Amino acid sequence: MTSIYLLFGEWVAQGWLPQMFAYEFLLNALFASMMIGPLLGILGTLVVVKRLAFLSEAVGHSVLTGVSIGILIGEPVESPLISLLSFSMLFALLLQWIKGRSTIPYDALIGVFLSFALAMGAALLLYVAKKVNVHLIEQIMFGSILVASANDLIMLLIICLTVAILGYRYGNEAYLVAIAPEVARSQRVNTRAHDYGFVIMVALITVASVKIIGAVLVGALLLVPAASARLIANNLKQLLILSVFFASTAAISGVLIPMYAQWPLSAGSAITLFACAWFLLCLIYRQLISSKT
Amino acid sequence: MPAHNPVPEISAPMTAPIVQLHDVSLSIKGQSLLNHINMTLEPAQILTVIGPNGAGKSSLLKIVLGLYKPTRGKRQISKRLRIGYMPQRLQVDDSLPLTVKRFLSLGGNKNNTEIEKTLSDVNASHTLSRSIQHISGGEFQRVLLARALLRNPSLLVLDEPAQGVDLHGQQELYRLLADIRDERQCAILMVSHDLHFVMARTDQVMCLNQHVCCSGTADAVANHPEYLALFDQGIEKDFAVYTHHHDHHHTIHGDVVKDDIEPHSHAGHNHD
Amino acid sequence: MIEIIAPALIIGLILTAVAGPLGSFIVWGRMSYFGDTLAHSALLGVAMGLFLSLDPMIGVIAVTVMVAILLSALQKQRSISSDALLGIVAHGTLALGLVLVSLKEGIRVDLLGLLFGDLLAVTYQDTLWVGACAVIVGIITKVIWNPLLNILLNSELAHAEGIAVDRVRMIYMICLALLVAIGMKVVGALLITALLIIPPAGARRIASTPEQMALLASIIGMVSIALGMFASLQWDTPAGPSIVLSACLLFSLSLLFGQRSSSE
Repeated sequence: MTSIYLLFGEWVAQGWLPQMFAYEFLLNALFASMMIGPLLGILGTLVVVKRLAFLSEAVGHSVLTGVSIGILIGEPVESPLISLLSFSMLFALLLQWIKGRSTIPYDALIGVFLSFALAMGAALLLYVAKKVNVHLIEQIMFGSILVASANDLIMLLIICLTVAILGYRYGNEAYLVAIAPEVARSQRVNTRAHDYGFVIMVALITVASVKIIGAVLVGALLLVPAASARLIANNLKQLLILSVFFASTAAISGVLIPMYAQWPLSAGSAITLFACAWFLLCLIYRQLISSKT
Repeated sequence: MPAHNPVPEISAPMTAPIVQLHDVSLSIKGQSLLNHINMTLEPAQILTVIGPNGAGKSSLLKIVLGLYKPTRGKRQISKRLRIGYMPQRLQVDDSLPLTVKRFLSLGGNKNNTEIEKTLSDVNASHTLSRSIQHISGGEFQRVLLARALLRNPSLLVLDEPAQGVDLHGQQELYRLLADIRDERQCAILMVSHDLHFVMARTDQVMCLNQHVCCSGTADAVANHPEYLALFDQGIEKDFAVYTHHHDHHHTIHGDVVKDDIEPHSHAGHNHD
Repeated sequence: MIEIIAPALIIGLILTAVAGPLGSFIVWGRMSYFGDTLAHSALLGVAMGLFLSLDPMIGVIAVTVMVAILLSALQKQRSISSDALLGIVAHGTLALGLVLVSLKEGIRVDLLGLLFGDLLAVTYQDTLWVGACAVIVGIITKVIWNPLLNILLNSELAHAEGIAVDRVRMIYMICLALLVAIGMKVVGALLITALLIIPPAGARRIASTPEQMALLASIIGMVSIALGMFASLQWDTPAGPSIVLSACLLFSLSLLFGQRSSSE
């Protein structure tokens, strides 16, 4: 990694890149966003097709709780990884499990879980923040480019590879399960495993992205680019490519531009707004197309 | 000797039709659903609408109900027309605790005696205190009918009331509807899912496929020995056979093409 | 002590009393995500209020009402699934609100208070206008109760039976928006959905009519307020989250309670 930092430092010194690229934290954030973008873009297409936007949001909020629990039990603030991963994982699995066993409508159930996670997380964090750092909560909720470390990048890389391998092997099946579960079942695809797997993936990727985008807004990058792509894509392949494109550009811009323009924005907000901008553009594009026919 | 004193008959007052559609067309988002429909429904008359899937039958009902406005043409209804509507399906979420009794009273008529009586009229008295999510499909149909009846309607609009019901159940239903018409003197506009069998007592049949393909009266089953064989004894009182008489056919693309071959009976085969 | 908590307690109780029936509809109508979206947009309302130098409450009410109307109008179109639409509006408005708040230099905004409520800082004056709002919302809810239930069951049937479906829906949305605006003070934008859906979810198992469920939801809500505030005072935990956690507790208790299987 250090060699990469040095390389960028060189380019800055040569005047090819603006000053900000000399900072390690920015480079970290940049690399992180370059991985988060595609990851969320790909998974987002499944979220949109399965209509599980609300669920993903709940998982995102659960990260808040995971973080606060981690801090409470003494994990390092910058990466309360164990508690984060395990809590979000548990949360997602529990939600999936209860889904099949209750008369309460699924969306209300998600809402309950979501509220619980948020309340718990907030309560704990507010309690903890007095001891640690008041801005911590905002950072965890809405992301910050300051906190991405080299370790995070390694974790992201591992997750990327995992998703790539799983996607290659199970991608087609996953979409079949999402679009036509009965057909999938008749073809001996284990839909339950896919449902659980999907939820676990969402948890994993959420945890990985939370530093940059924040627990509250990570759902945005899962949903908005894919929804935008859906407006103008004509087939699944286009959907994927466009979604990844929108997500990546939004993530990268959200990291670089506020820094460059020196806007006091949290990364998560900036990324979300860029993603929404893409959405509006797609909306307009689609209107223009349909008014011609 | 005169057979009887000529008692002056009080003739029924000249009543206007309760629903009239004049040259009604309906298109939604550029898709044409109904074309040039003319329909007249007299008081206490039973009109059955039949047609293939996608023919616009439900749309026609919605125009009569006032849910859709015709794109062209006019819908006329008599003043103070009370309509009772029985929709094709109704889904009640599990999270809503609702008894049949409460469901019925939600329709506006809160009179307990009337509710109980109407429910017994449709043979569903036993469902009164049951949770509406826990009654059978057939029972639910009858509860829906009860709700429509509780409005004391002069027009009953039924959207495929016999769908998913077996022949025996259909027979019961048609008998019930006939009784209702006789007792309450209300008109009945009914969409039937079957292309050939209609209620025996139906006064008019309209075959619809975006436009009125043909219309007329139904024929007694007794005149169609090939159908008689399909039935149990006595069922012929409740069913009738409608013979289509089309002078055109519909292509796959939905175009209407006039037949210039000599007209022939179309009984026994479909026009899709 | 009483002086501090009295207005907070009153507002909390009023809020949950009204949230019971309104929230029940959210659960019945599967509109939890919708409620959540409205709540997120409340933050944008605050930001806009601040930007235009208005009382943030006015901003909140204006924005949530507008978003509610917009969403219900957009519900009919087909190009975007409602799921995605709600998510986009929720996140977009929240992000925009956050951005505006951070750009607005000079005014220190208690962001956390907006997000998680600032219950113990309410004054008697707040109580007055919240009470007035709540009474209005309560009366309106009573008036549209039966029509709303009918619309929920089958909007076409309701229409055929003479109910002005769109208008009643709109009125409900506006009531909801008003409730969200009030609720922001109590539990904040991110948790107001909790107060709307957790009590009814908990009441379902015990109720056998819609009215019972709504009433029970109100009661559960009010108990949550009491418990939450007690916890907050006793253990110095933040009020908003404590209230929501109490509600969650009551909800889980209800799960153990009425063991209604779906095949009764």
